Amino acid sequence: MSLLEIAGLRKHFPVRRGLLGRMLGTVRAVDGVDFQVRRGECLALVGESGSGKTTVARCALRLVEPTAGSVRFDGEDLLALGPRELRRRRRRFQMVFQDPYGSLNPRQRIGSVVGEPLEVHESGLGKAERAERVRELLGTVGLPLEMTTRWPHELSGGQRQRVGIARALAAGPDLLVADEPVTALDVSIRGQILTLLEDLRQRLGLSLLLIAHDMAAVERLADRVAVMYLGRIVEVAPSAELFSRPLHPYTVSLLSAVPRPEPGRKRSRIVLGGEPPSPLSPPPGCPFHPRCPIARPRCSQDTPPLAEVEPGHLSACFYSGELTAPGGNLSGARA
Amino acid sequence: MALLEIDGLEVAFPAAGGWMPAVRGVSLSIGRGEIVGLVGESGSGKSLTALSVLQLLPPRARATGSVRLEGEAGDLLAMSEREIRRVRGRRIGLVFQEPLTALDPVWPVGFQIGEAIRAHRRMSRREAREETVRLLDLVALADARRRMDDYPHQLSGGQRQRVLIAMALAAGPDLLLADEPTTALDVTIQAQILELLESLRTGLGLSVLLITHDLAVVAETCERMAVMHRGRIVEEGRVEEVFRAPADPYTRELLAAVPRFGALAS
Repeated sequence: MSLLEIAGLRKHFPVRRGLLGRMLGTVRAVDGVDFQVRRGECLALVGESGSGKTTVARCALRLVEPTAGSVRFDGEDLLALGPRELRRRRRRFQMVFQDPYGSLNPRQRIGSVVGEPLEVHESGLGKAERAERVRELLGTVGLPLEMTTRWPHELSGGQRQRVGIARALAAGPDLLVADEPVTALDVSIRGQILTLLEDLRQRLGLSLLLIAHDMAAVERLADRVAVMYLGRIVEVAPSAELFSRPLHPYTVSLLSAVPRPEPGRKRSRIVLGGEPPSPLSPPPGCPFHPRCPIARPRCSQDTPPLAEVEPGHLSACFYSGELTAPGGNLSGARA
Repeated sequence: MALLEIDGLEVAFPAAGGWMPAVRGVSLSIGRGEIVGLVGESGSGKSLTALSVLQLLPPRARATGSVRLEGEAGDLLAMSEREIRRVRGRRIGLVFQEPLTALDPVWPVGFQIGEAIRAHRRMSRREAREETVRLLDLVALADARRRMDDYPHQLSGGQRQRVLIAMALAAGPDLLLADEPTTALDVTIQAQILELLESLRTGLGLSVLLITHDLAVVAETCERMAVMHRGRIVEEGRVEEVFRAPADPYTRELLAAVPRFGALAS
């Protein structure tokens, strides 16, 4: 059963210029996206800058209003809710932000940062009860209790990210949306935060929508992975399957381009030419065709739908599975 | 001799009651047509090492030791401003991490490359313009003749990095010092830039000192590597050797912290 169901999601931003706001065009940041996050599942959205993954996450929480499409949370249409009802529902889905430096108020002590959602969502709690809950939450994310009186600037990046997670958990959510939760952290700290998220999922039965470009993080946390390119999902598969047998030529190229700490391995990098096209004027047909190593005439005319190629493995390509990385497909070849 | 030989380099900054060492006795050599990786975390001294080669340290810093470049009689550290200027650009080019801040926002990129050319070679503006096109083609900037009139903000991160590399190559150097040249880029664009460095090595016989914190990039690009920690080189050797049998505990830590996925994770 799906907890979050996104269908036909679009978000277009108008581009205006000058005093009169003359319309220059439309940035199609998200251009027809469908996916579900099942109960207790971690789904990762991966893609490069500008692929639209953050905009999808924001639409899913209705932090920005989608242009079209539907967002259902636990069977309920979120887009139909009024502001007051939406706020009441929000306690069930919370966000963890990328930048642990920018997302904490520097003039708010940690205890107050974590306690604030409780004031909003559980106004019935007394002061002592609230303080008790804050201490519980700090314990849950592995922070010592004396943190309550500290200021954000006294904390390390990893500790701040733990505070951000505690704040998200305060409302008692069913779904966490984590937008690049470890990207801003040192490599040695990343593992700790990933372990915490893994552990919280199991202990609290949380569902997780993870936005990331770090493949190692994705593989560790995600049950399924959706790959985005230019505002669309081009491939969805169970994590192990996606990393061992990617079907879409973009996924194959993306995974092969990630440098790997393995000197002397046969070079199996596929170097894509050019850059992702502008979402202001996406190319006709398949959005990936101008850079695709196996593009054929049909690809510049028709847009391939995201279709199930194998059970549970979807790919939006007419020639799914035809491109493989030279020298074996990544990890799968070695497993 | 090797193309570049750094010997016993020390860099220090004035501090209360003396000098605070930042680079402590670094020795490193780079051969012709070789890509050497200099790895370390922020603050390890790897950028300072590169900057001292061209006397580009902050004015208060003091560098001692010796830096020798094939074909130059004197020690680079001891050269006068006039002498070292001849080395900068013409013998050794420099590429930085931030492709946006390293370019002047108010001039078209082609003009900026032209300036770099004319600083070193006698050329008319028109000749410099043709040379600019040649350099931009060399770094595989698509549609170079048209793009050269663009301003930096009109280019993507990968295109700007190509422009910077073209600029560094303007005076035909033998060695490129590249400080985190792909850190700000997406992986498919990073792959393009690494491929470009490799092709410049094979095509022009260029040597590259690649400064990075990313061991995976080193594994894919370099033959030799040196690991810096707290101002010292703690390990140096052929990349395959260092990865297979790291001798220094810090190198082992760094290697263990490299994100791995796929079968590499297990």
